[in-house]
Amino acid sequence: MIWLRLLYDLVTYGLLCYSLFLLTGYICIGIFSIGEINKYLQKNSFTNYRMLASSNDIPGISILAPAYNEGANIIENVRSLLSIHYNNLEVIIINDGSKDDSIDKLMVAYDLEKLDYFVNQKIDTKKIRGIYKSKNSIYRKLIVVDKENGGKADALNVGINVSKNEYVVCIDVDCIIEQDALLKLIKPFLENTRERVIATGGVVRIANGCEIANGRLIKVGLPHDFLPRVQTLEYIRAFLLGRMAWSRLNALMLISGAFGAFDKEIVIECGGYNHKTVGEDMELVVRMRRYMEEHDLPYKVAFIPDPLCWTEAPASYKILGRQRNRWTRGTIETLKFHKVIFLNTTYGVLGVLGYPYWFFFELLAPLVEFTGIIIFVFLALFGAINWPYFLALLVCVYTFGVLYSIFAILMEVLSYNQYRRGKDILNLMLTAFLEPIFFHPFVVWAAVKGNIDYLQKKSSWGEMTRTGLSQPKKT
Amino acid sequence: MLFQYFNLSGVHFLIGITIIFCGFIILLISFIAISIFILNKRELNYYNWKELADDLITIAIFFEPDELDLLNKPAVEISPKVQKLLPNKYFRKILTNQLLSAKENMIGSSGDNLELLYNQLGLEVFALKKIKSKSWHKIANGIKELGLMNLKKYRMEVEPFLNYRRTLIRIEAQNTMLKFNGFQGLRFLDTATNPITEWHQLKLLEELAQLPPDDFTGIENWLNSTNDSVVLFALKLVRNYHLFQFHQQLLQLFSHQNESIRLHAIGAIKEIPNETTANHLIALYPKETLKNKLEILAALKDLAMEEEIPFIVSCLDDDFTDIKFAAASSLYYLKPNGFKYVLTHLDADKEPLISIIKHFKSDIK
Repeated sequence: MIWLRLLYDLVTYGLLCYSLFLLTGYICIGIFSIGEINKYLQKNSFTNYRMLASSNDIPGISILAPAYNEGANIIENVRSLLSIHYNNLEVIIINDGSKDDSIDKLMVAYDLEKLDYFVNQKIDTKKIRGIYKSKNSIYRKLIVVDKENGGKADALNVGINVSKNEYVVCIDVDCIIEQDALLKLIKPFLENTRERVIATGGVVRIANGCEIANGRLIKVGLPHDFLPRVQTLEYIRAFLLGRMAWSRLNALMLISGAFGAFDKEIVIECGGYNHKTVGEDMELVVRMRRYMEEHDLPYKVAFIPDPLCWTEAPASYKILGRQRNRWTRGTIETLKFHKVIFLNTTYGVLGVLGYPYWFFFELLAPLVEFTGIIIFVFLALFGAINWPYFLALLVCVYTFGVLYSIFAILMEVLSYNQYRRGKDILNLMLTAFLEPIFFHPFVVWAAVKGNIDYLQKKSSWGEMTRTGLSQPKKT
Repeated sequence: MLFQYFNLSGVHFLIGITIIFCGFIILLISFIAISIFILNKRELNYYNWKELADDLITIAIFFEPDELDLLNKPAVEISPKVQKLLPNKYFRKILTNQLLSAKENMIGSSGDNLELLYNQLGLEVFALKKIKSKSWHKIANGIKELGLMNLKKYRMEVEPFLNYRRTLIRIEAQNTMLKFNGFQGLRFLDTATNPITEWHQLKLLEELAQLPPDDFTGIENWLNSTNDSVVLFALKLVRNYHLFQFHQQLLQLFSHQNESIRLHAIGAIKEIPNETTANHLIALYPKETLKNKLEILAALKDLAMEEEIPFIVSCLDDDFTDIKFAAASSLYYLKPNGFKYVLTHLDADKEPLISIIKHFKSDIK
């Protein structure tokens, strides 16, 4: 029975070490993020974005917005994108073979005409059916591309081929973008002299519960429903703490597909988005970083904590499960494509910190947690559980989870304070206590399902039905 | 071992840690509650105080000194309420911010009146205190305040920060010198050893755009600077202000080792051409990178004459599609005969020229 005891100790102490590393990681992230947010806020207070919005010297940006069956809101969404404050801008809407009437609606609303627009196919893509521009000079910034269906990555690659400007901003067409978002996003590219900024990400916030009219955010509000509300907390934690800290270490591996800016030259050098993964956003960032490391070029992936982009969060467990399942598969695929980076000092902080963190604590965490639960059930059946110890550990881990969320809420209050009503903050704090019980187990299960689906070679995107943001919800 | 030493069991240890975590949770929640209370209270005061500040600023903007004022020292009427609140640090912060924000958007007599109000309220004392502070953002704020309020008498206080190691302080000091001295304020570029970021260059160009064009002195030195960012900024000045006198110096920059400088030199020389410019660009072309070749062809779009047509037509044979497109674009704008050379090219019936020709026939801008 010695081997059984040995195995028991190995699992127990292994899990303990793993948990301690994880907790230490979270504490470090929290500490790093404080300094980074504080520095950014102080620095940013000196910038008069309004003055630069009309500058002729500002570099050109192409917004790439893929759309698939977005007919219900496409007109408003495009209007919102066209109203962004930025002088040197083109807005490229890529209709990815929608089965609905998106293209017809766009043609009528924006007075579009089909042109023999030349596209240099720097990245291989599915066939373009037509490129449209408006006859009305008011919409001269708008380009609509109609193409065969090929998925989000393919649509973005078409947008990159069509774009003329040196920076591309990839967004989800249904996102609400703040008016000065592009100026804030372009700034890191222009203020670094020591290293080349290859990509910049901004904070994505949950728009459920917010008041939105004509594609613009009128008033910020906390979602009334539990699921979007808990995701609000989750996003605050992930963006305000996690990504800020990783950005400080220059080890950021993910820029949200919903909103990110990229140096087009490097994107093309790297071959654009990979359509063989459902995690194309993360994969591109890792590939760009890898390219810079392998060519020994100094670089940075920047991140700014301003809430610049508002998106609708899944409001049902079914849709949320699909989203988390896809995120898990995307992570596995990306880490597998770039496994050479793992603990490889040639890749600097990416190899020794960024990649291992994602592998051990983002990819493996749900699996370790799930395995732990199975072992727990097994041991409980055989009466091998030290109950006082188990309960003490459970409460300890629970309180740490709550503490971390409360810390994120404090950072939000002290930095951007978007949810101004005391009631909203109270609700967020209550959510922090409920999340580990009612939300976290579901997320773990969705991630485990993602692993199973990956092994079964399922590669579907998963339909993301949305209720739409334009109509304010009744309370 | 550790547990045995302290006579603790694992459970006790975990309970201890949990209690610490709970303590932190209570502490953070209290901190959030206090922060929200303070923020809400401040917000309440903020709107009242902001209104007071705005009223005062409006009075100042429309202030017209009468004859008596002109004889003595003109003064904006300040309400007793404002005077009473002035020692309050938070009110002063709101008032200063509102004043600075209004000043940023005002020129002429309204702007002068805001400066008058600022001086009358004695706010410069606090700006100077900020400059002497140890916190970098306070120093930068103080410098910005002096610049916006045009307090030229404090030039000596700002000058030491022109080459300061902290970027933000350096930028604010440089902007302030520009505000104090107009184009002469750019003389910090003579000795600038730190890079002037592209973002800062944009800010400087926007600041300059608000000043009446003046005699530019120093550009010849900046174009020869060993600080590449200074050269780039000088090139932007030459381009934006069409400074024809620097044509020869720009030609010399064609042999600069920095690719970006050559790129900007090509872009700038396009704005100050003479009859030899196109020839120089064509001579540079074979030695250049793809990016710069495209810039040369873009410049030739505006500069080329009939004589340059053979060179541009030869670019249609390049392996790179971008070059073919740029060459076709130059020929398209070379009216009236340029585009005929694309249409009659040997590869005109092959891709990508077929699509490129269609593109231009669609007259896409």
